[in-house]
Amino acid sequence: MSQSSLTRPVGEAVTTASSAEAAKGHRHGTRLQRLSRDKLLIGIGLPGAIALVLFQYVPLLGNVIAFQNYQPYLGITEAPFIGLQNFSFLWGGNPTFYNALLNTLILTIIQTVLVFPVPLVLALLLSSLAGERLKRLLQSILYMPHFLSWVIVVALFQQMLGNAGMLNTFLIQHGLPQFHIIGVPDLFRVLITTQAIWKDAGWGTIIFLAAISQIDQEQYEAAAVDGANSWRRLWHITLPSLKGLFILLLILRLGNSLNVGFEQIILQQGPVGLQASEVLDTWVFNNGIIGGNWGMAAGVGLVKMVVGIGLVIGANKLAHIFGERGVYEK
Amino acid sequence: MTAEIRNTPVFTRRRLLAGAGGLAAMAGATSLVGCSNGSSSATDNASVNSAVKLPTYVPYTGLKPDLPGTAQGVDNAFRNFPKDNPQSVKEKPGDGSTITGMAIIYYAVPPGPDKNSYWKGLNDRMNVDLQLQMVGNADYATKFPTVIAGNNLPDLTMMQVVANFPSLLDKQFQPLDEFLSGDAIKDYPNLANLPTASWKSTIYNGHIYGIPIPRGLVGGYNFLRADLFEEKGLPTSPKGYDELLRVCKELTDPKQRRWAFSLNTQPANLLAMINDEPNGWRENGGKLTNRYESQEYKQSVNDMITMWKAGVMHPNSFDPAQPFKNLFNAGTAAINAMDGYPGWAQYRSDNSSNPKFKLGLMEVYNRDGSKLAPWHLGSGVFGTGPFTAMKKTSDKNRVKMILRVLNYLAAPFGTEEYLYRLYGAEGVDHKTNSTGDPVLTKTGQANTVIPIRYLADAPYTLYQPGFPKDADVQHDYQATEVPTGIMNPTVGLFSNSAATVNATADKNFNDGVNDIVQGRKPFSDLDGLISTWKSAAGDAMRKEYQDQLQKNGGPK
Repeated sequence: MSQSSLTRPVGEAVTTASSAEAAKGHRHGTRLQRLSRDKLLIGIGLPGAIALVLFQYVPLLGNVIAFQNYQPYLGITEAPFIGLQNFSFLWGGNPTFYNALLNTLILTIIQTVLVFPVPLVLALLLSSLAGERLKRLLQSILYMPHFLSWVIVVALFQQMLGNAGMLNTFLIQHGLPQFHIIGVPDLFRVLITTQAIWKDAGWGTIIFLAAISQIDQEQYEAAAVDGANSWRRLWHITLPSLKGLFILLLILRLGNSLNVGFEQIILQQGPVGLQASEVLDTWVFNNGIIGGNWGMAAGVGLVKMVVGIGLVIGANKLAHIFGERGVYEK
Repeated sequence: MTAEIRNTPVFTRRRLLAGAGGLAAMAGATSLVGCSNGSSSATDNASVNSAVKLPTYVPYTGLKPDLPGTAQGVDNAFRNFPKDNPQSVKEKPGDGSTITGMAIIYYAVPPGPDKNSYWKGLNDRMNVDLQLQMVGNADYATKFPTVIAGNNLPDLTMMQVVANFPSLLDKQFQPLDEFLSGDAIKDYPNLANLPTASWKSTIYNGHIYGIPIPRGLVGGYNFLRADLFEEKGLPTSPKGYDELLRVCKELTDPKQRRWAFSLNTQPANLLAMINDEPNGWRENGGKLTNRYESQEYKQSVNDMITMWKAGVMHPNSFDPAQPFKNLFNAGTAAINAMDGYPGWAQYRSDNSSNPKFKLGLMEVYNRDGSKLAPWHLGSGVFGTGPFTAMKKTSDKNRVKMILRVLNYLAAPFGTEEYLYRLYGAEGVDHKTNSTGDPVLTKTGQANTVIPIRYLADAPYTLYQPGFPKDADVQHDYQATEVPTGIMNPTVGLFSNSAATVNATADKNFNDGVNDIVQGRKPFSDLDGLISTWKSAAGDAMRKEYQDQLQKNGGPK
């Protein structure tokens, strides 16, 4: 999400809708003339467009298995249609599904409220550092965990803080009381939130740092001349300049908000149990994929997609109401 | 997590992780990959299936094992590799054409035939162009349905029992009874050498659908670190539950980073035998009782609570990703109960540079320690891929040619073909040491792992190169435990519920039991878990199995 936003000017909304609007004003000549005039641009864009259609849109058609009793050896064409039966988890009163939904929503809230702003704070702290060399060094160290896979991150936490890990082995060997963090259901949310921050907060600062560096230095100088202290400069210059970007990222994040980390959670599910750790993605795996119930697995995916689109559209509307540009304009 | 049971007696450290496999089919923990016979499908029912004539069993007599196996299921054992390696296949089986196949691989993928002299040599010997899709063990369960969905089946496929399995076989795979049933199999003498019990898992829709990958009935061993037991002067085969608990407590010392067990399933599998739980299911007058519903299981859960409280299990025991083989090698865990029995060779080789390491085996006594507990036998086939099936074809000559190739690959232990299949060419892939045992070279270790052993295999044979006494130790252990054994009565039966909804129901059940054992939920929750499991999968499975048992007049 953040990577794709990197290629465009910070905070600027780039959408097909708006560019189409813009293009309207410049239409000259017949379609053929325009085609021949733009053939280079079309040629450059075509491979990407084809790839997008082939690998993003065509596979969407596969969602039809959400309405089928799908069996791999029958294929999409022969699998029988069963209507909405695969969606019965929504109204069937399945306690494991409701448990997964509840856990997902709680984690969504935690991740949106607590995890999402961390990169911004970190970026502000970094940008306030004076020494350029120290800043670079810290940045590099903070980025690094992002490149570790979840398996490694989970193993690291296990080795350091686990019940047979470094910390507890040290405590046992010195006759001290142990400190159980991993494998404790009550601390599971804290644990995975901590891991998520440790792994990705540094990476998330990149885009904010880029935006901060774009802010006109003269504004700060002018404010300083007017007697604004650093706190007021932050409040009146830095944060307003980052608002558009922050809202844009938040909206994009909401689209994904029901994905609370499949790999991270499934790797740690055994010791804490399903009650505390089951989320929608792991529920799909445990109930759909493991038992070969592909139709239902696709069904959950579809529901999540619809919820995600709803959240993005809703949040975007809200942004417009507050006079922001959001992800796209009307 | 089914045991990876393999025939290569030589292992390298590199192969350790790859071959990690797992606990031996979890002592019937309804990992009922058992199959064949009867199901929801109209064409797959007990009456048509019991009419199938199983292939005639003609044991191979060309070589005499040092310690012969038994009809009950003890494996043949050889102390050294036989000096004479008779040919079991006189003519090249192939016709020069290409045969494609797909099977599981537990090692790094070896070079293709153009860069692999072993593979090329095998092709020459069989006069075929063997092309294989080698699928990593972690990916097979996802790859298998994809290949089927893609409608691009190879000639030979290592099968996995999936939902609606009988109708899948009916649609896409070749019935082989015409070629293999009864005496017809005598055209393929090495296939006729496969134990009768293993063929039962290949029967669906009233047909034989493949070549079984046979494994010894013992299923798993209770491995133990005899050196750690000796250090404390503890008995390696504790008599009864109380003595086991005492031994476990004495072995455990968290300050030294040592525990008796490293995974919760290890004591659970031991207790299943100690408390005389059903081996998966118990059959009584045509009625089936699952392990989970038995009184004995409740006793075991109670005992597990005691063991967890006593701290004899590694703190991460409930993490299924626990590297239990490494922990056993490192001496962090002293007992590795019911691990796949070919692990013997692996532990030998992993610890070849550790002079302290001493491998032992634990016999299991009943609860009061008065006599041996009934052993829970395995299914007699490779759990992950019980048989190899052939793509449908109308060309009978091609079917026969492919069967001849499989016959070549199933050549028994000690034959010339077996020697080449496992050890390649002398001087290139292996060297013969002073005791006459073949030892793989570096080249051989990389080249010979092509997964043909999951397309066809010889009956399992006990043999540990360089350790002639190991054959006796293992053979004695099997001869002690196998006669006490009980089979899972549903092995050889197919239940669609077992192949579909049970995976999730079983996971939810075990998750709840783990909560109880760790004291997060009260013991009284167990009844609720059992009834949830029964309504989600258990009762449907019972009905499907019972229907077949009734029509068969008892377990097959």
